[in-house]
Amino acid sequence: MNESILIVDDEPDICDMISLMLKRQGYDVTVAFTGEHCLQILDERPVDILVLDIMMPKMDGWEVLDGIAETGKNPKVIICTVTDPEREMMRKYEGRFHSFFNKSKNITKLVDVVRELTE
Amino acid sequence: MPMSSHNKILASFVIPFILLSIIIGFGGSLIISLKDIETKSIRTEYYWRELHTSTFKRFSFQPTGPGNDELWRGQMVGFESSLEDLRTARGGWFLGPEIDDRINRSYNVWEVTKRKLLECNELYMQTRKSEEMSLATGSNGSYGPASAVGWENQGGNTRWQVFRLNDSLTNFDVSGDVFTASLSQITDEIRTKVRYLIYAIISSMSLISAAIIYSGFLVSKRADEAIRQQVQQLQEMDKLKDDFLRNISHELKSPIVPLKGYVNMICGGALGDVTPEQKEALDVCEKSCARLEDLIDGLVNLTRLESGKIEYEMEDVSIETVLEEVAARYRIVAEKKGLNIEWSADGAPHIRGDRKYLISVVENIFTNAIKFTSEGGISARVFADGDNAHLEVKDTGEGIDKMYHEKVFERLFQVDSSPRREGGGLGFGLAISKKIVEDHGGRIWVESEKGRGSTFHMELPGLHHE
Repeated sequence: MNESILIVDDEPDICDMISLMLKRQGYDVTVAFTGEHCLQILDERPVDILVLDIMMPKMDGWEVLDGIAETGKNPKVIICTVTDPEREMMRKYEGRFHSFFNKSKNITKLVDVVRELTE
Repeated sequence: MPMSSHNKILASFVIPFILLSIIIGFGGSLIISLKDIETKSIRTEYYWRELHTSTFKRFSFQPTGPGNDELWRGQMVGFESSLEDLRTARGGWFLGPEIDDRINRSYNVWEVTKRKLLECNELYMQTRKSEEMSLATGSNGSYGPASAVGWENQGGNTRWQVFRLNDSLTNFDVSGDVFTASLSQITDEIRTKVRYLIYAIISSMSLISAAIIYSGFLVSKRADEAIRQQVQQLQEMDKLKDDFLRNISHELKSPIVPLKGYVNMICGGALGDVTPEQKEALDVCEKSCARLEDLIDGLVNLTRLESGKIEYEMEDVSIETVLEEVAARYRIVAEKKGLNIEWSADGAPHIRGDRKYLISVVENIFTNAIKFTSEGGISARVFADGDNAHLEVKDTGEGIDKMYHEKVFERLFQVDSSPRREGGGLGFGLAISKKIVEDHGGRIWVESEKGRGSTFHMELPGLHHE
């Protein structure tokens, strides 16, 4: 069975691009444009890896992590942002995500990060 | 806004104070006006008696003008003898209304007192408070015109004495139909009036000062409120600025992500075969994206640095390892351009700083060195300079004219600002580097001559400085 990946990003173009990239690697990819939608999907079906943006309107990435903690679900989380998150927040949520990826660098390397987590 | 305890205390003092001041002020003014009526406006009965005689003649004194505190001016009416009698008498006494029923009783005493009065005004002043004098006046003499006035004609000169507890009269003129009397001293009434006037002034001043205190207190409350509002506004603006900086970076960089991502995927053949021409075009796209990102990062970082929004994570840092890390990375870039990079380290002290930001400074120096050097190479070394750690990066590039040595560290400054200049960039790098180095208590500068390469220096205080 292919690992299921959920991409959470308020930029549809970014979602599409990452989705295309990961689908070509054979992963089962779903996208959510909001934090609320992400939690809803997590509630409905199992997700192995979460590619999570931080700066989103209404519910941001950190709040999504809080929401996940409440559900008791335990997907592997890759924080994926264009700017480095605040150090304070990184420290606060340390241990609640698996890795951090700056998507403004070479995005194709995200595939390697995902592969590491699924191996 | 609820009143603070400090304000309550102030109010509990100020309000009764104001009420008291109003009462005193109003009462004082009322008393003064009542006394005016009593002393100035009411027609009174007087007696006069020629010196060495025993017959008292009655007359009335009608004030003829408003008068003032120093001068009584009035018309003698109902005189039992003529005014001429007054003028021709060797001397005499006027007696006030208060003693008319005691004239006979006090007669002998008058004679005794008269002598004293005529002897010396000073003596009168000294003795007037004695029992004898008090009897002589026959009253407490507190109110009204003089209780008794004595005069004596001596060879054309007339000496006058007022016989009252608290007054003396120096000039009493009966030469015309109207007589006037000037008081040499402030009379009781005046004293009383002055006293009440002082009360009124004090109470008015109290009232005014209370009002000033209270209004000052209101003003300061308003000022406090205004300052609080301004601080709040500034805090809000600061937060907006923070949010803006975070958002602007996010918003500017987000559209580049899919652009760069797709270019990468196409280049890597993930979306089908790519011809060499297409590959070349895509490389340009990739470079443009990278440049755009650098500009956004530069702009945002400099703004954040300058507004003090960067929170450094301080740790012990070896500038040697920073140099090694950066030089090793830039060697590949330099070699692509045919440049040689070499570096050495010679026992520089560790420093305290944020490694990530210090790396970005060294990266920036290397980026510039490679950008502006077309042949030769770059040599870098780290060494101890006194207590400081010193990094120098020497290139064989085009060099910088002396006049620009300080300007290159200013934001948006380019030695060659023409659009066709080599290298590109907006001139944020060195401005950011300077700010970071200065935030670490160090300094950064350049030594260079046009056409003879440049040497950038960075000096940071060693650890044992702290």
